[in-house]
Amino acid sequence: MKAFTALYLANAREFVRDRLAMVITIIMPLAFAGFFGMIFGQGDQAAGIRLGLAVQDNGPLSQQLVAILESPSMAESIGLTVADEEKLVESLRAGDLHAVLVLPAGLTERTAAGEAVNVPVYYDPSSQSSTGMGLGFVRSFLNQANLVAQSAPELITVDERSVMAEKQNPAAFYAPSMLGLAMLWLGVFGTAMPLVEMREKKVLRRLAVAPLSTRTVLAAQVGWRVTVGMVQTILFVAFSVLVLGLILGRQAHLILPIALLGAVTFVTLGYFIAALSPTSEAAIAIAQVVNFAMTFLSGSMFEPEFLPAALRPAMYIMPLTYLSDALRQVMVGFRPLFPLEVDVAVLAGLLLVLVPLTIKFWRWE
Amino acid sequence: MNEMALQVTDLRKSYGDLKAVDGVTFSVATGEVFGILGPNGAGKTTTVECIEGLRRPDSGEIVVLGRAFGADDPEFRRRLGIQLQSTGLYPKLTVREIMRLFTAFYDDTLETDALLDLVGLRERQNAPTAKLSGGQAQRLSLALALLNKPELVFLDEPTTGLDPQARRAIWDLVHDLRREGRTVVLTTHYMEEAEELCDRVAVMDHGHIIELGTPRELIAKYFRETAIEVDQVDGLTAEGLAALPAVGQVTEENGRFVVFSAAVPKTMSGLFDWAQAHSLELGQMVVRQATLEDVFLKITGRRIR
Ligand SMILES: Nc1ncnc2c1ncn2[C@@H]1O[C@H](COP(=O)(O)OP(=O)(O)O)[C@@H](O)[C@H]1O
Ligand SMILES: [Mg+2]
Repeated sequence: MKAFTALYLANAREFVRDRLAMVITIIMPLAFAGFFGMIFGQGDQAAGIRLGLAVQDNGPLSQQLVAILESPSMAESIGLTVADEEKLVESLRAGDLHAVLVLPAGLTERTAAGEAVNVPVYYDPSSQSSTGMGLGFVRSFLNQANLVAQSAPELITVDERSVMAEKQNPAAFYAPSMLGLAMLWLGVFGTAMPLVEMREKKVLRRLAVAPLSTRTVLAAQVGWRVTVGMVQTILFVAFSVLVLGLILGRQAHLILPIALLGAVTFVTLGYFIAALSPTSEAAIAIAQVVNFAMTFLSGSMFEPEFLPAALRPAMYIMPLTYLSDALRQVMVGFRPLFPLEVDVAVLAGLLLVLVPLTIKFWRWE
Repeated sequence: MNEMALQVTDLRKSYGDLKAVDGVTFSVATGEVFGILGPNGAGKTTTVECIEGLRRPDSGEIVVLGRAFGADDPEFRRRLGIQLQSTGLYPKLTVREIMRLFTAFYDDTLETDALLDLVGLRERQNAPTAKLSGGQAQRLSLALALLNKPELVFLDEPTTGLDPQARRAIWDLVHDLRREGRTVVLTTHYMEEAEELCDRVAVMDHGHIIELGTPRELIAKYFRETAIEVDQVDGLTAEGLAALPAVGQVTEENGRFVVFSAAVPKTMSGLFDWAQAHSLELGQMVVRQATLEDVFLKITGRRIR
């Protein structure tokens, strides 16, 4: 344990004092996320709340609520579209609306009878306007509705339903995708290249004759890099919320576990590349090919729809595709490419394949 | 003290067609300073690194501190001190941090400050290892080999490329180790180093041990004579010198003749008589003991460097 801690700290110091490693693995991904999030993020701030309203109840309470929403004083701040529920949800998905409020059948009757009623509200969790303005507005509006209904305890409760817009806030795409890329860079530039360099400079060799088991040496190196991955994840989440204004999705508690799986998998991939590379020139070449392929074919630099059809199949063999997809889903509830379970299974499967292969091909010198 | 710290029997290691180590057998007694002397490419490093478990020998038996040595045996490694000929350290860690790191690998270690003083790196303790000079890096590497108070120490060319002062400092450390009764195996291609430090020397060339003994034994075996170095001057020839009384052999070195004599007074008086008879003005003369260098030259017909 003493040896592990000392080696872990040595790796940490070596990394923190390496400016290039810091820039590539920590600062660059954040800068990319910020850059893409900002330049493509304009125009989302349209004035006014675009609210869809579906009225399924004809009772006096509903009529009163509709009247308030249609009143001239409200018209200044909201553009109201009245239609049926299905059509409105479609518009929300197309990005034309910020939120959809449904006044369900029996609303008046049941509240009058003292029964609590769930009022469905659709919103897009990946859009700041939708979540902030749209959902926020409907929440406070329904609070007032409770006053109007003079119901105490409050009988109208909000049933929040998230709907993914086809056209989402670009930052919602870029922030988690860049976090995925950051894990890739941690693996190829933050792991493979320094390891090969340590091997060439014969540092690994010196450790090989110290009274250390291979396991301790590897655990300390992998452990430190995974720590970097976790720090990165926390920085990314903070940056996304505080600077890019993203709202975290309902599965935000899965961000760290998914990022952890991603970090371990890609750091192991880094070890695998190092094991296969006889020289640092070879490592640089392999790292660049892997990096280039993954960056552009994994649907992380731009949305997968922009990939030419001919290249689409390549997307499925890029491990980063699955990590970025999973991170988008859990961070902001972005519309999935694959079910989350598939993403996790692919990453875990890759890890299980890489570990024995890496051990097989590993060389200290 | 008869106990063996190291026994190597018929060790062999080839790289393709090249037999880097070709049937090497020797043993090292506890408390002994044992030297492996040979030119570059002789197979010294290959031999030592097979013993250290860094390279897998093709065949042969190696017994270290009384047991067959497996390459990956952390517990056993605690008893060894190893300085590699080519090695590196975390370049951005400081000297002190590196010492601390390696200290954490062992239970019983020398105190860091004392060790820094011992190898003269106290002033450089906060320098990143990448910024050390060759001699300083070598001394740090030596400190790492010594910090666990090892029973058996391997030093692979510890002074190659160092200036005389740095070399002297390392020699002093090896003398200390010997006084403390530790066993040392060191390789070198410096004759004077082997003579100065080693109780016994194996002379190695082309993967073979061609001679093995104490420096004195080797010199006595090949040179019962004393060396007389004579400046070359006009009229003085190797043939003329070889004809002098008690002379065994004459070689030329750096503009001087080296005359090996079994009886210095006889040879000298013969030389003076001859010079007078031929009206020769003799240059400088030095009388010295034969060295391992002379031995190597005699056995292999080549100079070691
Ligand atoms: N890993 C290796 N691959 C191929 N040849 C090697 C390797 N290591 C050593 N050799 C060769 O083996 C011979 C002995 O080398 P070495 O043991 O390093 O000699 P020394 O330490 O005496 O200078 C040399 O000819 C060297 O080129
Ligand atoms: Mg060598």
